[in-house]
This record gives sequence, structure tokens and C-alpha cells, in this order.
Amino acid sequence: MRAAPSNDRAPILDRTRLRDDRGRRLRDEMARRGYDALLLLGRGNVQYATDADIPAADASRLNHFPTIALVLREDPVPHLFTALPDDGACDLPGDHLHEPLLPELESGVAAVAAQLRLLVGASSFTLGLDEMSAAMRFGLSRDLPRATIADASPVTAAARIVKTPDEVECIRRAQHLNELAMLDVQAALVPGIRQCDLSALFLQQVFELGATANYVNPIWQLVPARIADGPFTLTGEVAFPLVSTDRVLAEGDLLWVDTGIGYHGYASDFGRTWVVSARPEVDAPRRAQFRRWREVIDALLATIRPGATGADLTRAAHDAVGDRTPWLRHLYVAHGAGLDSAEMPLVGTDLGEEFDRQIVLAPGMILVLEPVIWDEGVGGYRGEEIALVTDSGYRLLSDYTYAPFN
Amino acid sequence: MRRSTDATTTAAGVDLERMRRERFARAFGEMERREVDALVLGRAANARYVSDARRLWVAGTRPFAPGCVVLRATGQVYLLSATDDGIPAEIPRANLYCTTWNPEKLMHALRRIPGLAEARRVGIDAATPLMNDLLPSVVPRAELVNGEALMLAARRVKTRDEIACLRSAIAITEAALDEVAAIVRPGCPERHLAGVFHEAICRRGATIAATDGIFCATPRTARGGAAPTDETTETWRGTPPPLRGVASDRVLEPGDLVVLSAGVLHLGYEGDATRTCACPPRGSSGDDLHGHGPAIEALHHEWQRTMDALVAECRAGRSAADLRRAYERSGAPPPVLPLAYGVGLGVEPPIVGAGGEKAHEAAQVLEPDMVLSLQVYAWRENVGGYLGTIVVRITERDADVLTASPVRWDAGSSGANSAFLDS
Repeated sequence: MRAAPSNDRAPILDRTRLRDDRGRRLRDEMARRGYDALLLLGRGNVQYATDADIPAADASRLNHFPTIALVLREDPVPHLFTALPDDGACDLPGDHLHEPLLPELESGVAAVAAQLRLLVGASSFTLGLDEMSAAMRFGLSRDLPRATIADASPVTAAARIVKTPDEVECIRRAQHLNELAMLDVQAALVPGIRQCDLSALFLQQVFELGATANYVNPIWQLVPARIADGPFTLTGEVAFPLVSTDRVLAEGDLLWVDTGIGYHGYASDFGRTWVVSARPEVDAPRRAQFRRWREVIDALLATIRPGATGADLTRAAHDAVGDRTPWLRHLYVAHGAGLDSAEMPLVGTDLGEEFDRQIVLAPGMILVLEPVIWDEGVGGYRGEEIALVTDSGYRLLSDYTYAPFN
Repeated sequence: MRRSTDATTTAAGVDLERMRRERFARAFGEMERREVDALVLGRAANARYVSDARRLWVAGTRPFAPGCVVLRATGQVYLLSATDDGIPAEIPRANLYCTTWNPEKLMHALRRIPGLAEARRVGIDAATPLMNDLLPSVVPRAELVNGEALMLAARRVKTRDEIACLRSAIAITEAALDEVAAIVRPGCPERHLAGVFHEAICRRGATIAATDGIFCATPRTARGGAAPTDETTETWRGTPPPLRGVASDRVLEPGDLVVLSAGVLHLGYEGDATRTCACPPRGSSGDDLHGHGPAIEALHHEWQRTMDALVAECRAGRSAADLRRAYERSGAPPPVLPLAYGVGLGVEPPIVGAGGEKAHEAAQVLEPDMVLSLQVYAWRENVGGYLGTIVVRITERDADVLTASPVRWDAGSSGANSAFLDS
């Protein structure tokens, strides 16, 4: 058992301000886009709208025991439907805190519709939804015949893409806790340890340190020297991410590590390449790979400033390494992070160059940079850095050693 | 050199190949019965049920995306996956379509699945407004129907291998919770309990927690310590204050009743268990219950009586509504947690006591080999709360209890708390 890091109680994080800022952004975007109400089921969206602390859980559990938010354009206070009112949600006035809705059930959908009619106070309105159960898909328009049902994601994505200072502080703390835990895990990385033992150490440490959730099954992926030595892929690229098992790790194994935990809903994203050994050594070709990865990161960071586009980022990454694409093409070279561990902006995806050109960086955006350098016969280096777009450039929120590559 | 300890990929008494075959046959049978030509599935549990693909677990729900397609005409399963890692050999590489951010590319991949475009009835298990717009271009002639209801009907009754998976998952959770119970003592922060739990399940090969769990000292008064006024005491006595679902920095104090409630997913199957222990006095071996002995014993007795009433209803032919009525007849206050829910590949219906779902409860009739997680929370002013979970398999005549030690942990492994909560 050990004490939480001292900066965990830094007075920078103001949860009242956090809640007010987020609510205002959401309602501004609703007004701009003509939505009267948002019914939100996704954990990140519900937390954004209400500040309810929602325990991390399997999708099936959250489907059947959901915490749901209803945001009305003209009401600065959100409605929350939950079975477990937490400390944060208890701040809501009684007439905004409701019994849980059960949208998985047909009878539950009728109750959803009734609540919407009651709380919106109209039968004709534009309703944004982020997720729908099958019962909602087939029942909601029947029960709300005059409502226009639309996708909530343009509203939520637009509101969430630029972070408030309190959101940035939550992300920084999540990342800090994640990195602190990794110091202990990396120290334990000796031959004979299993992937699940690394998860054991990691999760123990993050909860001990004050993380409020784990958001992804930790990845400790064995990296082959040649793509053909690893699992088959449709892309012809190296497979990633692979699910951890109880595989026993051996001296010299190359690992791609990827984890994400939560701090009041905000996600960390940790990525590094490690070598399994009590005294890890890295040969010259792999050191050269790391240097090229570092050059891509430096090129990306040098590009980050307000006004730069996603296309500027992909070009900078390409230019740093010549003609090869220094990231996994079915993923991205950079993605946002916040209440979800991969959210807008997404840069370098298969949505194409035009999509990247339309992404214009603004202060407060978060970019998780995750280039990958691959050489057949050598393997690859993959790591992640988290950058905050500032008024003049960027500030790194990640700060973890590159050992044993540097 | 040994490359794996088989802890994550197998479980005692499970024939994985047979489990896959039997599960698929049930889903396929429901497709035939309902004349559904194709299923387009987005939910991880449904995709796993028909394919047994082991995919990366991430917490929480995701907006619907077509991650798995099943065709009745050919009996083929198609999966959204860039790799064949974790995908059973029965599913050929030709049946994989690549992960993409681009909805148009995804629709294009679906249009190339042989026979899907001709389907007349297509089940979907969830939706988004975007997919409502896009999917008709893939199945232009199809009527879309509720595929979640179809899948839940298939998943409702468990095969012998599924039950073995559930037993294995429960055993992992119970063993891990017993380790946590052994360290409950004054000065221990709640988050330390959560950390020890996660370490213990991963060491046993279950790296996915079904929830981050409840590791909290239960409140002893209805409003977090403030003494209730005389006027409201009666009401509050009947309504337990909520349990906190996120472990905090709060440090355990002597006399706290501490709820340890969690679950793992092992081979996809959910194993739930709960321990409630009394935090012993400082420096004590735990034999002295800090003057709360009789009160705690009475609380536990209340819990036992209510739980017995629930378990007595767990047999074929009874309905979920019967469970709720049994709970109400026991005189317990309205539940703060669901009384019962189905478990299999995660949580599934029937859901009992989580809101106004009476119509659902009456329609949910128990059948042999359904598995239910029952949880009762008893609470008393100035004492605290006792939460206990029992997982049962329904049989023709009674409930087969899958939980090894539903009431108390084994005295040999419980260290400081060995004297607690005998009824």
C-alpha cells in the first residue's frame, strides 16, 4: 500500500467549473445545430453531460443497468436516470434525478418515450441519440411519432473536441497514474512472467494510486521480427492490438504495451515498446528504429499549433521518414482522448486526406500521437505521447522513459 | 519451454469445441424458428456467442457497428477483424472483413458478403441513427427485426460447458475476494482493496473484471453521518442509503461493514461474488466485533431470510415476478440494487427489481439451466449494510447453487476476519 501522488490533490481541478463548462458547451452546440433534447446512453457522453461517476463495466452490464442523461437545450441542469446516484449526481435537484430507465426492454422504451414527452414538454421536437438498443430502434418512433430522431454525435463530438482546463487536468492525472504504475510493471519484466501477471501488477498499482476505472484489457503484445511470423492480417501489416493471455514471456521478447485507465471518467493512453529481460539490451537496428520514431514524434510536435490541420500532421510524419507511412494504416497517426480513449480528432485514418484537411487544431485539443516504425526482420517500435494544443504550440501530458531504447 | 499456463484460455470441465458447436446451433435454431435470414450483430457478447472470437475488451458500451454477420442460408459467420488472432479455426480468413473508420468502406465490405444482399428478414441487435440510414443500402430488400431478442432467446438456457465456464469464473472471483477480505483492517484505504482484487483475478488468469466492483465501507447513517431528525428516522430506517460504486481514498474504520462485490469475465462468462466483512478494532485479531456483534448478527439474519426467500423461488416454472413478490413478502425495504439478473456472457435478462419493469418480470419464466445472480442488501441504521450474492442454476425442482461459499469465506483463509458473520 502506498500514498497517492501528492499532486493528486492539487487545487487545479474544480469539478463545479468542469461541470458548468461542459454543460454550456453541449447546450451551445445543441442550439447551433437545432437539437431540442439529447438522450445520451454512452458512458463518456453521460459523464460529460452530468458529471455522474459511472463505474467501469462490461457493455452488457451497462446496457441492462444504464445511467442515462437527458439534456434539454433550455435547461442548464441535466436530467439523470440512474440506479446508483453517486456523490456527484446527488448534487442534482430532486426533480432532475430519476429512477433508472430500461431501454433494453420494450416496456422500458415506452417509459423512455413517456419521460421524454413529459420533460421536453412537447410532442414535436428534435431528439439526438448516441446509442440505441434494438427495442429503442423498433419502439421509439412508434411511441414518439412526431419527434425527429437524429444522431447526437455531431453535437457531442463538437462540444467534446476542445477540452476545458479542468478536463485537461483530469487527463493529465490519468496519464500520470498510468505512468507511475508502469514503472513498477516494467521493473518486473523478466523472463518467465506471464502477460496476465503484468496485468495483475498494473491493475493493482493503478487502483492503489487512485485511478477510478480500468478501460481496456491491458495489452502486452509480443512483436514478431517478421509480419509473417505473427498472426495473419487483412492489411498485410503487423497485427495490433492482440489480446493478452497467460502466455509466458521469454528473454529478449519484444513487447508493445498499451493501457488505458480512468480518472473521473477521463482516459489515459500509454504506449511503449519494451524488451523482456532483467538486463535488457537493444541492438543497433532497433535503436535506429527508435530514433526514427522519435524523429516522427518531433516532426508531429513541431507541427502542432492552432490552425494546423490533420493533413499537416500526416505530411510531417511522412516527411520525417521518407516515403513510408509511419503508422498502422487501419488505425491512425494521432487521435483525441478525453472521456473516451480514442475520440475526435482522428488523424491519418482511412477516412482519407480530405477528412484530415478538415481537422483544424485549436487550443485545448488533445492529440495522442502513435507512430509505428516497422522493418521486416527487425520488428517495430511503437510508442505514444499525449500532447495538448496550446495557444502557441503544444504541451506534453505524457512523461515516461523510453528505456531500454535510449 | 512452456508458453502458456492455460489459465486464460481454458476452464475445468469445458469442451470449447463442443461449446461453440452447441451455442451456434441454438442461435441458428432461433434464426430458423423466427425465419430470420441474417443477423447483423454489434454487441460483443452476441458476436462471441456465435463465433467465440476472443476480441479486445474495452469497458462500456459502444455505438452499434456491424461487427459480426450470420447467414442462415449458408450457416457462415463473418467477422469484423483485421486479424485472425483469437478467432476459431472454423471461421475461415475469407470470412473476415477489415476494421475501418470509414462507414462507406464498412458498408462496401458488408455488400460483398455472399447472400446478405438477398436477405428478406435481418435481425440487428442495436442501432444508431447513422446505421439506420446506412444499413438499408446493404440489405435493400430486407425487413429489419429485433435481433437482440433473438440472441437473448438463444443465450437464455446454458449448455453444460457454459455452466462450467460460469462455475470457473465464479470460483476465480470468490478466491480473489477471499484474499481481499483477509486484508480488511482499520487504516486500509478502499482503493487498496480494489487493487488487491484486480491483482488476484489477473494472477488467476482472468484479466477482465465484469465491473470495477464495489469496495466500500457501507454508510452507517442514511445521510453519510449526519444524525437523522426524529421526524424522518422512521422513513430513513426503511430506505438504505446508496452504496458507492467507485472505490475512494476513504480509510476503513473499526466497526465498518465493508462490502466487497465484484465479478470477472472468464472466457467471456461472468462470475459474480460478494463478501461483506466487519472491519475489526485496531490491533485486534478480529474476534471482537467492537460491540456490534449482536446487531451485525441480526443484520445478517435479515439478509439470510430474504435471500432464502429468493432462492426458494428459483426453480423451473416460476417467473421473475415471483422472485420480486417473494422479496416483497419478506418485508425488506425497496431494493437499492437489482435483486436478480441473468448471467452468461455478461449480464442478461431476466432483470428483477431494477425499476418499473413488471411486465417484463411476469413474462420471464424460469427454465432449467438458466443461471441467475441473486443479490440482497440488508441495511440497518447505526450498523451498516450487508451485501451478499448467490449465483444459482435453475433446475426442475430447485436452485443449484454455483457459489461455493455464499455466506462467509472459508475460515482457514480469512485471517483477521475469521470470526465474522456466522449465522
